[in-house]
Amino acid sequence: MEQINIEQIMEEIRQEIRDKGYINDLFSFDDVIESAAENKTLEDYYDILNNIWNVQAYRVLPAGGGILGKFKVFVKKVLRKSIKFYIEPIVEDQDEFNANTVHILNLINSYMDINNKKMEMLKEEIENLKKQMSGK
Amino acid sequence: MNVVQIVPILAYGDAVGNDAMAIKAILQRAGYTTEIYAESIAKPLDKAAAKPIEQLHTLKDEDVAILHLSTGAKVNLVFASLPCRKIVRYQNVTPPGFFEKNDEYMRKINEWALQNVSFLADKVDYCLTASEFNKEDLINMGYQCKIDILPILIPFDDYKKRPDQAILKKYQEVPVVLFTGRIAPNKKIEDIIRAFGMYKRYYNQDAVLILVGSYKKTDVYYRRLMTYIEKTEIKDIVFTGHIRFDEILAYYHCADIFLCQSEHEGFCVPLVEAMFFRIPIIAYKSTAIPYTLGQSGILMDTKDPLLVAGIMNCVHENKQLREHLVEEEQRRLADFSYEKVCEQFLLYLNKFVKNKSVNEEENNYN
Repeated sequence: MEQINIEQIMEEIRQEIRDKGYINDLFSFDDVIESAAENKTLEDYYDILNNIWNVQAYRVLPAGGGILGKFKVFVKKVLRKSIKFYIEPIVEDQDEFNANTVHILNLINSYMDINNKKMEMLKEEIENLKKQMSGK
Repeated sequence: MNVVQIVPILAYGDAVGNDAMAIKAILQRAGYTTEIYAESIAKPLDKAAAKPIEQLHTLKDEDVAILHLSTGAKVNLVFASLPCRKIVRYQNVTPPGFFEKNDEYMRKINEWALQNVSFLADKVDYCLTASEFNKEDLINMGYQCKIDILPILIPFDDYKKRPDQAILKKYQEVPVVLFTGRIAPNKKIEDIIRAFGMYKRYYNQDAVLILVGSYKKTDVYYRRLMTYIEKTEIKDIVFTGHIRFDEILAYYHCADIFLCQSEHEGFCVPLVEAMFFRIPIIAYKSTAIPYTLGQSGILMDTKDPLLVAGIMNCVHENKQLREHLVEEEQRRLADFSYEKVCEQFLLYLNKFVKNKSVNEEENNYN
């Protein structure tokens, strides 16, 4: 087999990129840090948790097309029913845990709100006192 | 005489776990009394695969313990205090810096792992590393004992199993660019996406990028990748998540190009898997990757997405180049044959076992 010259191939690609005016206009991955990782607020997470804590054991099965599809759905329904006695208590326990956890988080959130307001009031009070003192 | 292995986590499908299981099988065949002890055993593996580290019985001076070192864990410290002879199977630690903007927990774990590796430097008798790169890593961290290179044991017979037929059917006629490996920051999935984006735009509109590897939807890195894909509007990217083995096999069967842009690998098993499935490899030259590829594959020292895309096009279109790459890969693959690595392992181990005392001079090469 003829020897392959990778360097030559690379040079040909470079030439092709120049000739055809190919450009890389994709923005840097580093620029997505803010939007994906850091922009979600604590409140956003509270909202998500409050919406998803209640896990459902019962899953709706999509209707299958054709005889084979209908048969598959039938088998899944049988399976769903036969493991109900086992799955449902686990899910209920999990839901109880989730509910309590989210409840605690909500309480902490309100507690933080109260404290933040208190802090703001105290800051304001300190500022006022500072002003009064400097006025003397 | 006992030869025990210690791993922090034994998980199915994980390269470290597979390596430990393969070594266990060799040790059993060679007549050693052996067992794997783990801090945790992930399902679907059962109790027969390994025992909890708490059950590690008293070892004698002449016994041998092999620690698979790849992460920060309490077992690394337990290992240091064992009275027997000690071998470290160094699987490498991902530098914590990769996790800085992505995963604070992983950053800390890896920071601790590096501290563990340094801590063990003067407490072990012998090391086996999967690559030259790993060996250099240990030397840089103060290891003075003898270090040999032993590639990761890969049971290739498993890859001959029947692949998932539905996936085969779906992607048989589609140009597939593949990467397999955890969706982790050091794998530089974003660079694969960028190169694929250029490839799709300028060379092959029908191409599909398949990223086979586990992730959690809550992972910051995964979410960043999703946002990036959404903003760049690059289509036809599939994240499979954790899938069955026959499904992984099917993706390998369908793949036309294996693209690796990883910036930190201690060995990179997927490269060898790609060789096995006769997929031309294009990889970024970093860490252990040049060692694992040897003379095979296309090793690039640039990540310019336009150039990578151009090379992808050449590999896809140029039959002669494809054949040449696959031929070279088959040559390299022979070096990683299961039998060959097994034989090498036993050779190293028997040589080590022959030296009876702990920390004997013969074993110190410096």
